[in-house]
Amino acid sequence: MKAKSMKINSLNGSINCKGSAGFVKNLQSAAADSFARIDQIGEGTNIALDFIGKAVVVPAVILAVSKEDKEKKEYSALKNPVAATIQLLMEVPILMAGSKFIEKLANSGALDPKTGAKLYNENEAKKMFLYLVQQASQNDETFAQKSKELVEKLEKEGLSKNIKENFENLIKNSKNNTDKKLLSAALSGYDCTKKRLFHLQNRVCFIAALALTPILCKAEDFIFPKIMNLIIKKPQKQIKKEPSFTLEKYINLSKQGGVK
Amino acid sequence: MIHPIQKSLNNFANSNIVKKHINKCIDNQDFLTKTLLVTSISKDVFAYALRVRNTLKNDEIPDDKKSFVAKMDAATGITTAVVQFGTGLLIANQKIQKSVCKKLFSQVTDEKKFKQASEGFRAVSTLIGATLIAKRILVPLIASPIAGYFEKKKNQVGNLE
Repeated sequence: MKAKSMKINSLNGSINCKGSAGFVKNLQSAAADSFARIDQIGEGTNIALDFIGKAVVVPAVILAVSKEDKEKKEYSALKNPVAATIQLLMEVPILMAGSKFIEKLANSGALDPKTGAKLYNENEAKKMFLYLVQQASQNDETFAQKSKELVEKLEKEGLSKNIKENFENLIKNSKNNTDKKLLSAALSGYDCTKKRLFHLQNRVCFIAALALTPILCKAEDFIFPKIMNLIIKKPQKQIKKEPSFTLEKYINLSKQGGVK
Repeated sequence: MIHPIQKSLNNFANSNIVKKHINKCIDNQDFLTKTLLVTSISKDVFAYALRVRNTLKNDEIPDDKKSFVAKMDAATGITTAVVQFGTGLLIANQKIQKSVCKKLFSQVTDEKKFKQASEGFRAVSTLIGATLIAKRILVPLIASPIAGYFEKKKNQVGNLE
């Protein structure tokens, strides 16, 4: 009986082991897929991480580590998400408007050099590639069918890493060697132009963000106390109790230092 | 007539430095990660420099406290930059990344996928390490005791005077 139960236990163990190994393999594969798909890290990522840091990490650290009394802790923890949201609401529209403006200029050819090279004109590069896809489709029916789906995806999602890889595989299997070379060159040119434009947008937006920092700081200093007043006054009225830590004290403390 | 903003953007986009920089960002993921690290740090350094300048110009702060507050802001700014840069470089280190990725993606057999995943992981982990862990956890933990020490020292000097 004992031997039988031991056998069953060991069998269960091996099943669990196999199950967990499979789970780990799937998890690793999913993680690898997600990281491999990362393709456009830029100022947007920096802003998003900064927001998470200020809005989530700092309050969590204050609540967990600070030895101040509960009221002070809550004030300090509240201060950062409010400041982060104000910063986000001011930075993101500027970044988006700036990026759109540069994209519009680039796609009109206004940012390309006088030599005639199309360095930043993504629209032009896309048109050239799609024209070549259309030409290749006339000579190859299988290519035509498969490329149709990919072109539809491209129009919806833009040239992502995944779509680019699918096109590369399709071109590899194309029958006509001349088409293969032309299509490969056009696809690589399209991808390069898109990346060039993306990095240009990021660098210009970074410079714009630096230049706007003094104005953004002033606007933040103006809006921040007003919002804090609105948030803080409500509970005070309900409790009808004199707070031991006033907003004036808090502003003085925040002026004396701390983290941005 | 070309708009001045358009003209300056065209000159900027086609300058040799920007063209070289952008091409390097496309070809080299490591360079791109370090660029993002530097841009993130420079924003902080600029904001702290601005804060120091504003403190020194602020007439509402008494003269005897002005220099102390400005020095504290400068010290926090420098600490933020150094800790972020150090953490970022440490996490982006090739050897560390290689060993972490080997463990993290040990089940991934496709070489191309492994390389792409490692590059993505390197960029994300460096930015998270510098922007979240270093800036938001390590810096306050380092800066608070330093600020406390200087405040105490200043009070002692004030009492003696």
